[in-house]
This record gives sequence, structure tokens and C-alpha cells, in this order.
Amino acid sequence: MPDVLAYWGFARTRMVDLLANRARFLAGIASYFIYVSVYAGIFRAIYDAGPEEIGGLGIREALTYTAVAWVLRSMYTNGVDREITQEVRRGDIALALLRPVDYPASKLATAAGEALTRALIFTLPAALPIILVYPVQPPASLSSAVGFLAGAVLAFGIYSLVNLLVGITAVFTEHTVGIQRAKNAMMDLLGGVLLPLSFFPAWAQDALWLLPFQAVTYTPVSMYLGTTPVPVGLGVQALWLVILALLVRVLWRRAVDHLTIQGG
Amino acid sequence: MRRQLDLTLAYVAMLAKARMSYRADFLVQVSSDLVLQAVNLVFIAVVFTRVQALAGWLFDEVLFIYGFFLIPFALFNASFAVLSDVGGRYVVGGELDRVLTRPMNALLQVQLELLRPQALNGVVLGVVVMAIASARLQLTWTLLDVLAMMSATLGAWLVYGGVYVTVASLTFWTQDGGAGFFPIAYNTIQFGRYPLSIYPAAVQFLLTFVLPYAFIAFLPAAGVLRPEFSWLGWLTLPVGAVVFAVGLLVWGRGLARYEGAGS
Repeated sequence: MPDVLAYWGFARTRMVDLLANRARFLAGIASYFIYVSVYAGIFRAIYDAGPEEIGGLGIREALTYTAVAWVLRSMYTNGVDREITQEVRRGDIALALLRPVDYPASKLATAAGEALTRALIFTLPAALPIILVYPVQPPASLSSAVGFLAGAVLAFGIYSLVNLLVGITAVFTEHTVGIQRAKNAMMDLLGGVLLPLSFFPAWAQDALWLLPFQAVTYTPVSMYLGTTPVPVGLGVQALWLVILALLVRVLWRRAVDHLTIQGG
Repeated sequence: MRRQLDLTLAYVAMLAKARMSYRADFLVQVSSDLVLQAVNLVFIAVVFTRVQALAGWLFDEVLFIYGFFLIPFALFNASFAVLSDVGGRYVVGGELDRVLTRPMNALLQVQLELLRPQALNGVVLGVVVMAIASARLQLTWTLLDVLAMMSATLGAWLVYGGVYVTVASLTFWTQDGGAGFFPIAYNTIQFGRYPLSIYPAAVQFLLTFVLPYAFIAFLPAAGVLRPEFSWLGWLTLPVGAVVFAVGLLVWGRGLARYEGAGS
């Protein structure tokens, strides 16, 4: 039991930290409203130009998709990759390794604390003006609502595990800024934040299913809309969660062997 | 003026030396910039697999607007964009004390200390994208078009500069709190990459008269693309001059209030 308490400590520390600096989320709330406004403008122009339905979505569903996708993004986003890189470069990771806790798990606990705080003091207030201004539909059914909520939790897990992988590569490369930025760009485009993956040509969609990014945004949001059956969506997400968790284990074991701490 | 120019060149020379000693960082910056721009281009390409035109604008025209957007945006990223540091480091941290002891314009010094020439790769990419779009559209360029684009590039850079200097100057009144406006000023730039006519009237009004990002890409590009809009291309430079003048005014007022960090 002391183990669980230790990890709760990591989550709690991050929550207290974010709550103390909550003012910075105000700009974030405005920013997310701007993001949704840009993409809602583009989607309206797309549907004005002709097609009644694209990839199974009408204009109402497409606008709902954009709103829900961005709101979801405001919850799962974290900087675990950047934080690990910093700890490796400064050598702080040596201290972290002395603690009797599992390092990747402690980072996940921190990220969970961040996601929980964000959900309450960032995601909810960011969703409010978006729902008021844009015609956001409710979930397709009760089961899709439950599926979406469970999917949001899994999305957080998948996103954070990918971030862990990127962060741990810092042990081998020292720099991860480039990988971080490439990963962020792919999360948004190939994950389905910028536009539903069903808008892509069929061959591209097939390829996108082979990547974990779709499980972060597209899959939970399409469960919300009812276009992906809940069991299928959750199954795909759970599969990626397991695969990524194994990859993190393998990479971390190699990283510990490889780790060199400079100076001291 | 002559002395300021000499000092500017000296700063840039020192900076180039410092930056070249971190060649890996430079390459990382360039390649990750390319990934970022590729994402935006793929987004536009995917959208146009579904429609012929967006609010009346064809794929190649949107590509052209985006290509032009990248040029002043790169100049901005190499210069004013870094002003978002000013609040924390210079005003709250008191580094401005050091700057103010020297006999040279404080804003120019801060700006020169923060230059990021590695961001200039966007200029090359922007010219390439514009050239491809222009060839596909079979545009005929007149000397006047070229001059309009050059004046609009300078004007757009001044629009960015005016907005960023204004927001940075808020720090003099609000301390670090003012930095919260930077993400809004930055994220709103996204609107500027696409034809203005896809947005609701209220957004169009804001982008024309409040945060005038309509002038950073869409209006000047439209001036070259559609002959009936050609006069629009010339508006960006005067608008930029006004916005930048506002920025300098607010900076001057703020600087007069500066009292140091008290350490």
C-alpha cells in the first residue's frame, strides 16, 4: 500500500502546482476557442462548397467533432517528454533513480495529476464558450457517452505513454526538441485533431490505423458521435495502451543501462 | 542612425558566431520546422480532396496564400516572436537595468539580443510553395506585383512587430501577468493563413480592425491572385506602419514606468 501512496504524492504535487498557477489557463481557454473557431470556419466552407456528407459526417457532426476533439485535447496534453529530457540533460534523473519508485510510473502519476486538474479547471471552462457559440451535439447515446468518457481516460494513457517514449529517448540522444515537435504535429494531424481521419483518402486511412495516434483523438471522438461502436473503439485503445506500455518497459530498461550522468 | 546601424551589424555578427557553434540545434530547428509546415500543407491537401474550392478559392490559390504567409511569418519568428521572453527575463527579472545603462535604444538592444536567425528557413520554403502555386496557376507577374509583395512582406512584419511590442509592453503595467496575452496573439495568427471569407463577419471585423492579421497574408496574396483586388496588396505597408507606431508608443509609455527589479 505505501507504493500507491507514493505515486499519489506525485499526482498531488502536480495538482497543487497547477492550481497555484491557474491564471495561466485563462489564455489557454481563449486559445482553444480560437482553434475551434478557425477549424469551424474551414469546415463550414467545406460543406458550403458542396458535399452533404464527408466520411459519414454531415456539417453538424463535423462541427461537433472539431469541438469535442479540441476540448479532449485540452485535457490529455502534458509536457512529460520535455520534463524527462530536462531531467536527463541536467542530471536530475540521477536523484530520481535513487528514490524507491519506478521512474516511468512516477512520471505517469504526475501526468495523471495534471490531466485531472486540467479536466476540472481548464477543460470544463474551455468547453463552455465553445458549446454556447457552436452547435455542438450531445453524445449519440448513453453508451457512446460512457464509451467517450472511458475513451478519454485511455486517450490520456496512450498520449502519456507516447510522451514517455519520446522523453526516454533523451537518454540516448540528449536532444529531443525535434522529436517532440514532430510528435506533436503528428498527434494533431494523424491523430485526428485537425480533421476527422475519415476525411483522408481511403489508402491513407488504412495506414493511419497502424499508428497509435488515431487512438488518442479520432477513436474516442467517433465513439462520442456513434460512428465507431464503443466495444471496437475501447478495444483498439486498450490494445495500443498495452503495446505502448510494453515498449516503454523495454526502452526504459535499455535506457537505465545506457544512462550516463555527467559531472556531479 | 549610422551608429545604430553599425552596432546592429556588430550584434548580428556576434550572434551568427554564437549560433554556428550549436550546429546540431540549428539543424533540429530547420528539420522540425519543415515537419510542422508539412503538416499544414497535408491538411490543406486533404481538405481539397473533398472540395473543389473553399469559399470560392481554389487549392492552388490557398497554397499561394499559405506560401506568402510563410515569408513574413519566418521574419517574425526570427525577430519579434521571441519578445514573449521579455516579461519574465527583462522586466520582472530586471535584466532591463543592464540594457538601460548603455547609450542605445533599449527596444533595439532587447530585440538584437533575442534574434533567432535559424527561423529564416521559412522564407525559402515560402518562396518555393509560392513558386509552385504560381506556376500551377500560370500567374503572370508584373513588376508592380513584385513590388506589392515586397512592400506587403515588410508591412506584415511590422504588423507582427507592432502587436508583439504592444503585448510585451503590457508587462510594464502587469508584471508577468501580461505574458498571458502572448498565446492569444500567437494563436490568432492561424486565422491569417486562410481566405478571410471563410470566417463569420465578426471574426473578419476583428482580424481587420483589432488584431489586423487579415493583412499578413490573405489580403496581399489576394491582390496578386485577383486583379480586381490588386489595390489590397498595397494596404499592408501603411497598416503595418500604424500598428508598429502604436507598439512603439505603448513601449515608450511603459518604459517610463519601469523601476527595476528592486534587487
